[in-house]
Amino acid sequence: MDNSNWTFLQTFTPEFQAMRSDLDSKVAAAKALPSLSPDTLNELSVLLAKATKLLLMQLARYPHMTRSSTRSNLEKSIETLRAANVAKPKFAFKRKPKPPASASPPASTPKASPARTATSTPLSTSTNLVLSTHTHKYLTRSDLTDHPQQTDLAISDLDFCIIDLLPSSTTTNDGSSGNMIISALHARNLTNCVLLLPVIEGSALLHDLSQCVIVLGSHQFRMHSSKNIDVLLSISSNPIIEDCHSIRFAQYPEIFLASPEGNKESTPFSVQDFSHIRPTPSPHYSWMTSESHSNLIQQLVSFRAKADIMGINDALPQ
Amino acid sequence: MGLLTIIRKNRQKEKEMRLLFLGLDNAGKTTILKKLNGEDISSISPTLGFNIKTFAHGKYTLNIWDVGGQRTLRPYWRNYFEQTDALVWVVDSGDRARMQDCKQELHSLLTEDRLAGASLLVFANKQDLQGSMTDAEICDSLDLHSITTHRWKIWSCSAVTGENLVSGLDWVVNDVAERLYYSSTSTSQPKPSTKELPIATQ
Repeated sequence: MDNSNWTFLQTFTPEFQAMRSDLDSKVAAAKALPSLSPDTLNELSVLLAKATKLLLMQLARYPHMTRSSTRSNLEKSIETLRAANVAKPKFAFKRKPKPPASASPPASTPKASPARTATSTPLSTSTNLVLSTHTHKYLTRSDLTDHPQQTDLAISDLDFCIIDLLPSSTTTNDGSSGNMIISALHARNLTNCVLLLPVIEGSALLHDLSQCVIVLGSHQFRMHSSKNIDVLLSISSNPIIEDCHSIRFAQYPEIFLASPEGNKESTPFSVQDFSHIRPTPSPHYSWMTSESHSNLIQQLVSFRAKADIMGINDALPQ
Repeated sequence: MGLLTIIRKNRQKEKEMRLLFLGLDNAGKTTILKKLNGEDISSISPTLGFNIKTFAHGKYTLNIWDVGGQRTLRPYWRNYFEQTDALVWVVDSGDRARMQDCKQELHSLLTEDRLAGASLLVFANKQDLQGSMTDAEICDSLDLHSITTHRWKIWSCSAVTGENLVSGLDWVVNDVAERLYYSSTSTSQPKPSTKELPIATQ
């Protein structure tokens, strides 16, 4: 597969680069002109459209090309092209006022906007529940800061951690924590982690995870740019993955379901891979065998009993 | 039936509008549409591709295009710009972390020639969630005040409860109508929509 990527890149890249440099030079030439004729602009637009089309076609033809380096290179090329596209109206449409750039904000709302943006940045970290920057720890609900009963949860930058936010199985804990309602989960940049969450109300968005076990129930599930993840999921819609590989899915463990009365059988779900939009099965995910599923659940239960990260490596997907 | 009646009827038929629903993934575009249409919203999956809904709103027929917001799908948004009368930009008011991303995507859309005439309605969705940003905060975060190329309005709403969905749609439909059918709007006041919105029962 790598070989075919290489041959593809070798033929495609020069062709595309030639197109791009041609376009670049023409844009530069057009900028240098004192006034721009509609013909020149049209010519540029056509060139840009051609290059974009070529790129999109090639991407569509080689969807298996998921090695992130090659792919992100191509994406960068698209981005630069798009930037060029956005830049063009600067000189093309003189009839329009030019407020979208930097000129207008001071002009239109000089009074409040700088001050308000300054206050809104710290706001973003203070109002929701954040669990961030830990290594080698077993984190539970008691490690969370004070929060309203309903909150969204942001988990980021953890390494070798077990995050156990399941309601405590022992009766010693105060009852209030059992009612925690998580309205959304945002996880980013977790490595070598085990995430044990109850069934949450809202959606889960996960970015940039590797070597993790995710145990979660949610309304929707989206995972991006992640690899080597085991996902034990309870969900009523279709989970989706995008730009991921080596993902294994299985059902949410019944023993972690909080209330026995809500003992509904987990419904089977089907996974959609947005990086593989075609009828053939996606190579980026698979289903966990029932044997490894039950082994994993046993390991998770023993972690909870010890409340320690000892042996975490054995549970993580390799 | 005279000729005038026929002409009027024909004109009535033409009163269509094309609305394009866009926004980042997990904003709630599909949920808003399904709620407006009185459908079940409990098991909506992330949109792979697009949905089209056609329904009557007041005296207009709305053709609503709802295109998925996942990153891989965003390059395809441009395929849906043609003949769009209004852009409805849906924002997840609880998603503070991606407001910058949201702002960039919106502002890059507004530079598109093919969306030049379109009215812009920003739905600040998920207001039912505690701790979500207010419409004023979102207005600042998305720098809406800098928009001078489009007529715009921000509307806080909740797709889950149905709050403010119809009134937001009313604004955008009337705004488009003033532009497209100005000869016939001057006499008529905005009517409440023909479809009653089921208020959340769950």
